[in-house]
Amino acid sequence: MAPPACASGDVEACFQRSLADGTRAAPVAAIEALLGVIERSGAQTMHGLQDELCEGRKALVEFCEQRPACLGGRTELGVSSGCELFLRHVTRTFLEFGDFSECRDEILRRGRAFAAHATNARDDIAGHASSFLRDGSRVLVHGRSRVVQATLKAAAKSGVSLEAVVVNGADDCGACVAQELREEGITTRIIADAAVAREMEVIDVVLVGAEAVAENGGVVNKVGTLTVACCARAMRRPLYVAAESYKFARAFPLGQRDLPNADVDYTPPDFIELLFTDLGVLTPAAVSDELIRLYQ
Amino acid sequence: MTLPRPPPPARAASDEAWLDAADDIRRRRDLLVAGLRSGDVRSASQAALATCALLERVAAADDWRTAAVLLRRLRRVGGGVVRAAPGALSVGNVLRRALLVVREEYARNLRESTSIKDDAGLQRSLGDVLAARSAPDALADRDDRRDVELEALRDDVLDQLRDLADEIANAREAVAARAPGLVAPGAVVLTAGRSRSVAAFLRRAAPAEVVVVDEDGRAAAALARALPAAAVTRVTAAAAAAVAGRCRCAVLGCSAALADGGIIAQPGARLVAEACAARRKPVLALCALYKLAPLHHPGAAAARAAVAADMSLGAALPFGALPCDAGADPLAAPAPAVRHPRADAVPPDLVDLLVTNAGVHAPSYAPRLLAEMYAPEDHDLLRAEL
Repeated sequence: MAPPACASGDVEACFQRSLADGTRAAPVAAIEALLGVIERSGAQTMHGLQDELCEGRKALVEFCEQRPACLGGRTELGVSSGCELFLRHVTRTFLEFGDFSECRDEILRRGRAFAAHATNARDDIAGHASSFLRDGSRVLVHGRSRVVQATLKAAAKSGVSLEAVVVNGADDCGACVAQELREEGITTRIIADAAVAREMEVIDVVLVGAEAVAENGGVVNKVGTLTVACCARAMRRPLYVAAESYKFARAFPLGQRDLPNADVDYTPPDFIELLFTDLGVLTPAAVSDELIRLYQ
Repeated sequence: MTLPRPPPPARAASDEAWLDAADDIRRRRDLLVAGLRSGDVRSASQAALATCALLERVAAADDWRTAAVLLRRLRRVGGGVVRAAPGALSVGNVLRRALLVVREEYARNLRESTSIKDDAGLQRSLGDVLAARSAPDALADRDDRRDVELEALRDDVLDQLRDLADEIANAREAVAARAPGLVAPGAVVLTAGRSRSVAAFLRRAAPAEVVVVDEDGRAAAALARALPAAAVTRVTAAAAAAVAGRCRCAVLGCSAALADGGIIAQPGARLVAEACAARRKPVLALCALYKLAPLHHPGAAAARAAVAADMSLGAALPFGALPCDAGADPLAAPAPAVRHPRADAVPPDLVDLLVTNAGVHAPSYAPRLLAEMYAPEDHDLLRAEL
């Protein structure tokens, strides 16, 4: 899929265009917007380019904070994690290549390749998760995560028979998720979010996505995830999170008030059994290890 | 989007031809498989040493020229053993170590002789996410591309494999050497089942008393022989909760450790660990590095192998204990077969420390240890290309 042209317009417009596509996660759209900044940039030195990218990142984060509607209820943490990752990558690439224009071209090439193949991460994740979705298990799903849907579809395609139980909240997005799963031939039931505790007895595995993964391995996801996690812990059911690694954010929420967006909540790491990422199956503790290795 | 790859050349046929002709290697492999299945090769260290010797033989053959060929052969021979004996996780671990050794030596020699960089299959990290190549490489292709002939490769690989064999052979003593820093002399220690690692460890720790959870008395007898200076008390698993309060700590041996830091140990280990957690006593798991597997569960086949239907009730109980009609011959009465599990899985939250031959770590550190020992493409050894 060809990335949207970002040669014209400012970084916010570029970001919105990428998001409008519907297949891109917020961090990927942010990285594409920053690629547009590089393409439009007239800087002749690495330092100049880095400054412009920092400006672009600040503009994007401010834009998302002022206009949360553009993210469709998602958290702006994903945007800042994508930007941070990209900036860090740019710094490292500068150390690899001596020549400025060679470096710039390489960054653009890698960035475009990343954006084009970003959805491949979902296949990697589905592969890692497959050994945890056993034949005949009942999976509780909350939120509308493309990664989770890809995981369940891959499992169904490989012949594992699953039953999906989808939590439906006031925004009715559970109905859409259930519809898509049924189209793949997965037996699906919809339950109201108030019925999660009642249902947990017969659930084998809880699987959710994430909008951002905090530094301690906790996750920020659609509101209601913490409720589901509390029930899962009370009934000793494993909670698995499926998330791409570009969602790892250098954020450390100490409580729900640290996330001003009321459409998301923060689930601490001790509720989470394992995270399925494109880097492999990680424990929550390993997430901080990864972040430290990148940013040290 | 990946382009369709052309079918592999006739290498599959030449692999078959090589294995058919390599009588010695085939014979050793079959011997190892038979030993694992029959229980002659019982412990993780025996299995690991035998696998290392087998893979050394494969590497020592003088008819391979490139790393690509050697990697295929190692995967072929080692993979056959893994598939035939899925319960012996240390076999797979040694195979994975050997594969990484070959890749690392290839990368080093390649860099020294031609200054081309090869990334030796290292763990993918967050920093690599944006730097990925334009099309995701298939893992088999990456190994097939390691086809530059390098003179020193054979000797280097053999040196490393011999070092690996030494490491495995010395692991038990290296783990035991950690004892003085972990268990104060004169303590009361709780353990479960029979383990030579635990015996070696406790010899160094010099406890005053060892309480063993043991169903048939053999483990307690072995420990009593190994620790003449300590008082060995044998209890059944039901008493683990009662005695845990009196112990300083629990020391458990294991046959394997899993990727999340949990262990697979003797029956009774889970109860010991739960009892100690309830009493806030530390649980030390003795786990040499070759026992650490990059798996979150051992797999259905291994789980089935862990439940042995080989122990009849008659063999478990002393003579005369089976009820029978007066006058009937007790030996003639058919004894019911009893299934009993050969292993217990202890989850990582019940284990406080993993004592390895390379250091003492929290179970949450297991992923880091795995990343240093095994390449991610080797985690799943039974994939189709094998």
